[in-house]
Amino acid sequence: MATINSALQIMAGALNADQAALNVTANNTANASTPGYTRQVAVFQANDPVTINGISYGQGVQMVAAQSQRNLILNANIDQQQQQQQATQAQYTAMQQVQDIFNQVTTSTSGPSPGSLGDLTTNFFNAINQLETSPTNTALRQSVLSAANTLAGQFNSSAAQLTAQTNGLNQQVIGTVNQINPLLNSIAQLNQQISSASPTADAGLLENQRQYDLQQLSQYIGINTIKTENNGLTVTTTSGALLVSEGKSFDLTTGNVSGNVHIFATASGSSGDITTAQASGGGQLAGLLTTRDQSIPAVQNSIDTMAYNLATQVNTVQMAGVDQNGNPGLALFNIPATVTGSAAGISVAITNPAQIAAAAIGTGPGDNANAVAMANLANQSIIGGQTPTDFYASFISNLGSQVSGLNTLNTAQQASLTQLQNQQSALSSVSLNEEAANLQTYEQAYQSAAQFYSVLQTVVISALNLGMQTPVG
Amino acid sequence: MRIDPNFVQGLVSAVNQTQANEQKYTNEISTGVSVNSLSDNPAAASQDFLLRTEISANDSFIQSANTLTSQMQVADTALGSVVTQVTSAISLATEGANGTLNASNLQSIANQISGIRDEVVSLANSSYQGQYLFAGSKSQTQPFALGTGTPPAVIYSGDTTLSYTMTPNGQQIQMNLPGSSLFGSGSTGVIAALNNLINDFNTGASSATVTTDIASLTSGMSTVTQQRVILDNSLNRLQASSTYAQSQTTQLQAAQNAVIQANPTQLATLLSQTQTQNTSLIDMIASLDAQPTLFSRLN
Repeated sequence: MATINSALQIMAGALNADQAALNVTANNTANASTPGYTRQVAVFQANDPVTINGISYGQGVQMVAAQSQRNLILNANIDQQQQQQQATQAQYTAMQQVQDIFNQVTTSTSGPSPGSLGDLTTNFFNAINQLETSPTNTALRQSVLSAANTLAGQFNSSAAQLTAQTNGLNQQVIGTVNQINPLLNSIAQLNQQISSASPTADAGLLENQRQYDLQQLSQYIGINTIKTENNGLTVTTTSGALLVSEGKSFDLTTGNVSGNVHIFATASGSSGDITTAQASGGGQLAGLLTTRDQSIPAVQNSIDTMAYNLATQVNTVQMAGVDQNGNPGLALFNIPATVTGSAAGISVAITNPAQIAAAAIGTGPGDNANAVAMANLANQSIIGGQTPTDFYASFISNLGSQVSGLNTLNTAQQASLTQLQNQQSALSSVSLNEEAANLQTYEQAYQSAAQFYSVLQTVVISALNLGMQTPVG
Repeated sequence: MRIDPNFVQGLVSAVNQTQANEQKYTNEISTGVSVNSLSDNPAAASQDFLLRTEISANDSFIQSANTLTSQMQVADTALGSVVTQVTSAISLATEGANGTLNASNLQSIANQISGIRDEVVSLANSSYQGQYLFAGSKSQTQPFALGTGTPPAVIYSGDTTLSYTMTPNGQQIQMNLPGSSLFGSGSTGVIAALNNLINDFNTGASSATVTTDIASLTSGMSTVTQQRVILDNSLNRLQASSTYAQSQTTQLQAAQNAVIQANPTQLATLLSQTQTQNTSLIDMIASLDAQPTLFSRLN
């Protein structure tokens, strides 16, 4: 037979459960704006019934869990997408700055030349073209020399700006590694806490923090994660270098390798230089490394090739002629012996305008045959099988396409990241309306339980007073 | 399905996007140019570079052609004067050869032809901006002088180098005439023939000798005339090339405009659409923010 006492106990249990649920709602509401917070839902469970004389009596309710509303696969997808998107964005931002070095576009068809490397090359050949008309004119000779100096200066300055970009990227790599290490540390500590606090089930708030750290980490570096026993998490780079294992983290270090910052893993068994591997690994690091080690060197090589071929070809023609004083032509440009470093190393070798060899050997100073030959270089395929103009046009077109491609890719990756984040937010974010509704529900449940309790109390008193002259109560 | 409670954040990023577009369109309108960085339109940026290079090469050629035209016109004028002078020398000599003039008249003819010879030598030494025009490549050395003999030999200090200029479409145009091929040197050519005539009249040479020397002078003059035709041809070709380069530049500029110029009408429409979108988004976010949550209705 059911007793009034057991009913009282049921209601006491209900009061406890409702109070716990109110706590969950309170915590959700309090953390509505906390980054990385995953909302919790109070899970009520009916107590096991008791069967007396063949009748099954319910034994009330208890709140068995505050369940975090998370989808681990969705979270992992977001991390992956984040790594890709951040890599592209970092590369896009860096390449935009590279593009700015060569960004001289026409601002007005009647205005002055925008002064790009290509324009200055044209100006140099135009100056020689002017000299053809009057090879002994000192002013025209001086213009050729000035145009050569301006061109060499622009090569130098472009090369210097590329070097500055590379240096800037090196600093960013160090900065990124400095962001990564504390996160690795934090994940290792959380691993420890989670394995002791919640080895078999979702670790709730601790899990939120660990997930949030992983999301942060995914901005910086490409990672893989593996769930281990006791709810632990092993984190490696995409190339397999161990970063976090159980309660231990293995900091990344940086070091200088032939002028560039390289990244080293420190866990024994997977230690060593991971720079090349991480260039395709994801996260900001991948974008920075790809730009530094692939994109900028390609750009550098283009302008080196242009400077080297232009200078050597002009020198060859110049040295095949005679100058205004009838002396054999000297090299017009100083240029390194190899293509590498040519843009940084090019300079004008002669200072006296009379040293420009406009005349052919065996003729007087009024001859222009060598100047004509030099001016004709402008129309010959002297740089990588192309004319100087075509070479520069392909170069800027490639550079622009690369940046524009990165922009498109970045936008697309950002859009799909946003979609994933919306899905996650739909599942895991706190909705204040929902919490208000929960508050109302649990409050009413609590009030009902309390009311029920007081009614039961009356019933108990009635029971006690059965047949009594002086009732208690 | 549960909706994303933070969807307003998404709207804010849409506002950022519309603002970025507004900035882009405004920039294009204010600069008048649609390609403000290479990645805006890499093909157009590259095309624009090729066009402006071609325009600048044309401009440079037009400038060269102007300089050359002036220089060649000076040469042509000099040759024209030589022809005029020599023609009058021929009539003087023909007059002297008819055997009716006395010694004093012949002397006077000799003096007049001598004046003409000096004038022709001076014309053969014509210069333009410090450059001797008929000296081949030795343009800084006076090409013609007379020797000391009787009659004096013609001393040519220039050479026979021809200079050419190249038009933007690769045509070679001869831009000088070496003095020796115009006026001869030593005992040949128009100056030597003048010297011979002067000597003839000074020494009272026979009518036959004078007639022979007149024939040499006539032949020398026709050499000058023939050579002058080469110069005139060059001048015509140069001017034609320059005119062509000018009209080509106009076309190239039109092409360049088409490649890079912003389309204000289209941009204005886009800008106005973006502004409308921006305003609606902001209004919407404001009204969403003003919406109460269920909490504000709880008692």
